This record gives sequence, C-alpha cells and structure tokens, in this order.
Amino acid sequence: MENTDQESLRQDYAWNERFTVFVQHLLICLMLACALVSIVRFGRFLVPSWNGAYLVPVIFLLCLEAMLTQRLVRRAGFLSGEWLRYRLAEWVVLLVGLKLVIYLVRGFDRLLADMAQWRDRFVETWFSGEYLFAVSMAVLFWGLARIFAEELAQLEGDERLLQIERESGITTERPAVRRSLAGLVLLVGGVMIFLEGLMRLSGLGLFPGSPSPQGGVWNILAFFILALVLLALTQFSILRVFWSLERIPIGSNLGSRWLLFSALFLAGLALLVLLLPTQYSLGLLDVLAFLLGVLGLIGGILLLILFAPLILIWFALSFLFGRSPRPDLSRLPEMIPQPQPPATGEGWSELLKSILFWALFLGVIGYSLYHYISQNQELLDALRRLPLAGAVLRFLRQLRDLIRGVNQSVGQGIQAGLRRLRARRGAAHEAAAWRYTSLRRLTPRQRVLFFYLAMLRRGGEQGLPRHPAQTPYEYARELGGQVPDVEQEVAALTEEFIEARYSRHDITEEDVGLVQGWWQRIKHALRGR
Amino acid sequence: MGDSLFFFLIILTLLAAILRADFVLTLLYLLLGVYIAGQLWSRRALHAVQARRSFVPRVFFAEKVPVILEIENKSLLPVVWLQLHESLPPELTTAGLFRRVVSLGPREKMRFEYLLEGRKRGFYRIGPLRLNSGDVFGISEDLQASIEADTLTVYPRMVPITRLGLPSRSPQGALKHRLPVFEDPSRVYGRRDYVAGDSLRRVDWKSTASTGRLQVKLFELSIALETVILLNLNAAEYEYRTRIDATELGIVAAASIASWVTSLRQAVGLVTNGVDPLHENSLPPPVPARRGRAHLMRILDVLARVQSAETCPLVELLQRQVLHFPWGTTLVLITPNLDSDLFDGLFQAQRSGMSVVLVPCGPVPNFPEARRRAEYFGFPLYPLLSERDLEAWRQ
Repeated sequence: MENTDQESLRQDYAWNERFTVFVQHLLICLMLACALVSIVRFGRFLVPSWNGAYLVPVIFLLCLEAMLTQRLVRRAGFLSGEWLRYRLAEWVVLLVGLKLVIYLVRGFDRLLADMAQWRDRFVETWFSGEYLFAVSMAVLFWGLARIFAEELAQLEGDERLLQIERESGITTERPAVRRSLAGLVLLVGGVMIFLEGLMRLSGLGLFPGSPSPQGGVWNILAFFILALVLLALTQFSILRVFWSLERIPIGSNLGSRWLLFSALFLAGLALLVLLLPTQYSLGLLDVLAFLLGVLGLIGGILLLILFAPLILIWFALSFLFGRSPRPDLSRLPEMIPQPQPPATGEGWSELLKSILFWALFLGVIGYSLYHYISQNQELLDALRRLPLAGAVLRFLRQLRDLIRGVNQSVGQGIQAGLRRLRARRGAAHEAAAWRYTSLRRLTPRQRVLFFYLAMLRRGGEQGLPRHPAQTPYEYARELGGQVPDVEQEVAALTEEFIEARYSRHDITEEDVGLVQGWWQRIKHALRGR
Repeated sequence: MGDSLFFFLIILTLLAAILRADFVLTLLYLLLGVYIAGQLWSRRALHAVQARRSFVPRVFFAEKVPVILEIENKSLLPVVWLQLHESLPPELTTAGLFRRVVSLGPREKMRFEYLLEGRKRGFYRIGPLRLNSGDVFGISEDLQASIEADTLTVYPRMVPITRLGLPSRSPQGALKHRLPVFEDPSRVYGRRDYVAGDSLRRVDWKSTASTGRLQVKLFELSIALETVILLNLNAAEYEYRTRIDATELGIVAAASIASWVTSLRQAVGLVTNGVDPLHENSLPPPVPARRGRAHLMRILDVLARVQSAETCPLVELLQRQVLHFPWGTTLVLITPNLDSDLFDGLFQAQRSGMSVVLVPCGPVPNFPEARRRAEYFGFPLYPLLSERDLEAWRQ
C-alpha cells in the first residue's frame, strides 16, 4: 500500500515536472520571438525598405533548438571533444538553413543568380549584409536561449536530482536562480522598451528623416505577460522542489492549474490595463520630465566643475593649434513650430478624466510604496536612521496622533451623547443598541468586560440568567454545570473578567484574543442547547 | 523578486517621463497591477477557505478512526496553491502528519480521508490544521491560517470478566446473611410455611388459598449494592521502574471491573487521584455510582484521560470521599501501596458499613504482610502483576 502511495507521489511529481519544464521553455522561446519583433521594428525604422518579419518564426525555432540541444549536450563536458563536434555540426546546419530560409523568402531567382557567382565571389555573395545580420541575430538569440535554458535547468528538480540533494545535504539556491532569471527577463524587456523609446524620440528630431513608428507595441505587452507567466511557473518550480524534498504529496493537476490561473489573471489584468486612461496625464509626465531636467542640470553643473581644469587646458590648446571654422548658421534648417492639437471635448470632462488618472496613478504608486516598505523592514529602519526622514516620520506620527486624538474626542463626545439618549429609552432598545457596539473602539480591558457581559446576556436568553445576588464565580459554577462542555471556558472567562474589572493588571491584546476564543465556544455551546 | 520588480517600476516611471510614451504607462499599470492585485488575490482567497474535520470523537481501544477533512473555497477567486499541514498524535499513526498541496478552483470543495488507530488509550488533539498559501508570482511572503484542533478520546482496553471469584450479583456477598434488610420485595424466589413472627405483609394469599396453609413469600436478600472503584495514580506510591506499566494495568483493571459491574446492572462509580487534562489544577471530580451504559462511558472517558502524577496519597482521598459514599457501598481499591495507614482507613470504612475489595497492581512492597492484614480484616485480595493476571478473571 505504502509502495503504491510512493509510486503515485512520484508519478504526480514527474508529471508536474515535465509539464512545467515544457511550458517554461516554450514561454522563453515566445518571449525571445517578441523581443526580436522589437529589433525588426527598429530595423525597419532605420531602413524602411527592409522586411525582416521572416526572422521571427526562424528565431523562435532556433531558440527551441538551442534549448533542446542544451539539454542533450549537458552531459558532455564544456569544450570537450564531443561537445565541440556536436556544436560545430549544429552550427553548420543552422548557418546553411538560415541561408536557405533567406533564399526561400527572397525567391529562388536570387539563389540561382548567387550560385552563378559562387565560383568567383563566394564570400561576397554568401555573406551578404542581410545574411550577416540574420546570423548575428541567430547568434544573439541562440546565446540568450542557452542562458535561459541554463537558468531553467538549475530550477529543475527531478526525483534523481533531489535524491542526490537530499543525501548530500547540498541544495541549489533556487530562489537566487529565480532572481537572476527575473533580472535577465527585465533586462531584455528594458532593451525592448529602450528601442521603442528611441523610435518614439524620432519626433524630437533624434533620427531626422526616419518615419514615425507604425503599429502598436503589442509585442512588448505580450513579452511582459509571457514573462510574468514564466515567473509564476518558476515560483511553482521552487515550491514544487521544496514540497518534493519534504515529501508532501501534491495534486497532479497543480502545474496545469497554476499555468491556467496565472494566465487568466494576467489576461484579465491586461484587458483592464488596456482600458485604463494613459492620455490624461495633464502634465504629469511633463512635471516628471522637468524634475529629471533639473536633476540633469545639477549633474551637468557638477560635471562642469569637475572637468573645469580640463576645459581650460583644451581652450588654451585650441589657441595654439588654431580654431575650427564656425558653422554657417544660415544653412541650419528652419525650425517649424509644431501645430498644437485642437482642443477636443468639454473642459470639465477633460478635467474629470485627468483627476481620475491622477487619483489612479498616485493611488497605485502610493499603495505599492506602502506595501514595499512594509515588506522591507530593513529599508524602513534605514530610512528611520536618516536625520531628515526621522524628522518627517516624527511629524507624520504627530499628525497621526493629532488626527486620532481629534477622532477619539469626537467619538467619545458622540458616545456620551448616545449614552444619554439611550438612557432615556426603555430596556426594549437595549438589545438593539448592543449590536452596534464597535469593538475596535474599545480598549482591551473594555473588550474583556464586553465579552463577559455578552456571556451574561446570552446565558439569560437561554434561560440561565444571573441572579442579582450571585457573584461572578457563583454564576460561573451554575452556568458551567448547565453547559459542561464549556465549563472550563466559562471559568476562564470569569477569571479574566475579575482581573479586568477589579485589578489594575495590564490587559493585553493576547488576553483579549483568548477571551474572544472562549466566548465563541461558549456562544456555540449555548446556541446548541 | 519583489525588489527587482519594484526597481524596474521606478525605471519605467522615469522612462515614461523621458519618452512621454503611453505604452510605458500601460506597462507600468500592468506590473503594478501584478504587484498589488497578486497580493490581494492570495489574501482574499485564503480568507475564503474553510476547513472542517469530522470523526467519531470517542473510540475503543484498537478501533480504527477514519478522519474526514473537507476543504472548501467559498470565493469566486481560485486558490492556486494551498498547503495543508495537520498535526497528528504519534501514538495513533505512524505518519505523524497529514500533508497535502492542493489547488482549489472557484467554489471548489475537496475531501480527504486518513486513518487513525486507537493504539493507546488517551485524550488526543487532532490538529491544528495549518493552511499555507501565497501569490503565484512569489512577490510577497507566504500567508498562513489555521483551523483549531479537535479532541479524540481512546478508551482503555477492557478485559471481559466472567468470574471475579465473587457472587455475580453481589460481589460483596459477606453481607448477604448478616443484613437481611436488603431483601427486595420485587424479586420473589420461593415460599414457605408461616412461622410465628413473620410479618403479615409477607403472606402470599393466593398460595395460602390454594394450599390451605398460611404461606409467606421468600425474597432475594441483596440484589444491588453500589460499587465505587478507587484508583490510585499517585506516582509517588508506585515503584519508579514499573510505574508506567503498573498504572496502565490499574487503569485497564478499573475499566474492566466497571464494565463488568455495569453488565450486571449494578451501579458503579470512580474516584481517582490521577491528573485529568480537562481539570489541570485539581483532581478530576469523583464520578458517583450510577447504572447504565451511558454512565459507563462517562467513567471510561475519565479513565481514558487520566494520567499518573505526583498528587495526594490515596489514604487522604479515601478519608475525604468515604463520607460521601452511602452505607453498604463496595469499595474496590486498585493500588500498589498497601501500608498500615491504608488498612486503618479501610477498617474505618468497613466499620461504616462498607465492603472492601483490594486489587494491588504492580509489585507491592512487603506483600506477605499486606496479604496477612487483608485476611485479618476479611478483605478479598486479587493481586495483579501483569496483564496475564487479568486473563484469570476471564475463566
């Protein structure tokens, strides 16, 4: 029976392992294909006549091949004879295949024309500019795929590997590998954004003569969505290895569900994100750009101060070796003022949208900052040590205390008023008022009293009222005798009540937590009578 | 992971400012959404998970207990991963823990079952069940929740007694002839001719009419006397090396006698000086002598929970409790210590109209002297050195 369980456990882990590894490799290939789209777009931006779309599926397949062969030659030592033979053969096939693909795209006429020249000018005709670019892309992406495959291999943990780790006591630092993988993914994504940004800057005259970028940036969005799915799966890999080392059985569908739920979550989020406003920043980006400009100016001044001696030397030398001719300012292109876009829509609706944008943007950033800082206690401590930050924190604390004080005073005033009003009402309203007592506003001592009074009230409702002459202990004995299941809880709650009511001992939140637990059990038992 | 993402978000914000590009803002939204919504999702989802444990809370020795664990996701948000960790008493299972990792879809319910075996009497905590979960991206710390533990009572082993060397209906038969006040008018076992001095209430008029002679009814003398088992679990009175075995043997003997007396439809009670986990600061309250299976279960509950500890000596307990026992009660003392103080106390009890039966369990110091005293006072003695001695009660 136990063997069957072990076998079933092993099978579940093996299935999850295979599934995750396959999907992770596929995701990386798709991500790299998305990254190539950015390069192709940039290439077309620079050379509008060039069409490199065919490279995308080619690079996708090449990445798949790189990852597959990385697994196959893992056992052969790096730079060993076997490894060199394998890689040499592989690259010969890849280079020839790449050339054939180019001919397939450009037409067989070109192949025939080139073939005629191979005898005399083989190097010039074979290694054309397009082919060299394609090869450089192939090398770049093959290398990237290999690096990703290496990282993924370190995240894996099949039964054999884990057995070795278990026996040796040496385990791979998988969270560190995951962080490295995340860094790599963000680096590639950052390069994609940078390239897209460069194309957007064409409007500012950085690339005169280049057309404005056409089409959307779906590939960047797709890249990040795929990257997030990949990161979710790597988290699963880490946890799976942990569970396997701990021999905790997992469901066979865990991996597929992980993929499904994270993909659904990201798809929903992407849909929502696409609906959110991005064009109503009302100068937010300009403000940020201005702030960056100020920072840049300060940096420039500092650099100027640092390099002032060098500038002076250069200035002196320029007198010795003559000056360069002054540029002919009359030939500079005339600056044509850009027409302002016509105002659309009503003023108030634009303002509303802008407010919505600001609220959303700042709210999201503020919330994430709060989360980040609350999760990094060291950072908070380091911030507190800063003199300026310390003063700011003190100010904020004082402000918070002030607001709380005002809130409490107002709350107490209202409570007092309400008490006076309730006193005038009859006992019939007492039960209704009871339900509206806010526990959060009560001190721990008051909450203990509240729970005891709640016990008395519930006891009375169940036909076990406390006689006015009864002491708390006497009532506890009577109630405990009637509800023997919670006799202990009744006694303990009474003890705590006595302490809270008649002593000056500190009543902590832990005490209140215990009392609440006892009260819940007593309530349950009384309800079941 | 969270740090890398956070710094990337800052870079994205700067890029958005420099490039004035909408698509960077879209990316910013996406990543911030993952950062925030990912954490909210896991937190919300874990709060909506409910777990319920069900099993029979009281079992007999060697009985198997199937425990059913139901986990339900009450929310529409799926729980991508949920680690269950149920602590189990090692006395009842070889596994020690019940652990699983599951994924719960919206409103999905799962049911698990594991088996415990009542291999040792006791009062056990099943659980608590700890639930661990987290966001799918590994950005935040794992979240935890727990479900409270339940209790399982395993009753002590009981030896079916068929003969204890005493009359089956009146184990304290020494009182039978000397005290005819125990005659039960509901149980007539015969008739005889009237003799002078017989009460007129005993005359059987129907028999008198049929025989033509004055007949009187004969009643069974003693049919029901209360039995109270006094179980000594004061650790100081046991020999150190055999303490565990001897106390367990005493508990088995007490359970067996209680069961046997109940099967004879006699009343039985229990007084012990052991420690009950439900009454940590004091001795368990005495269980008064009553009849019936339900009452037997109450005695077995106490015997399942009670543990040997340094408490008050049995003599003190006897002196305190004997005042509450009715006249004619049979005291069955299960103890390893039969010293002169105890005999003095028992003699006082005997003089108060109670019968005494001694069941010394484990090695008794100076046993021949104790036997001599027991014979002198007329206390039946049934020594138990091991469980094999219990087997003799079966024959």
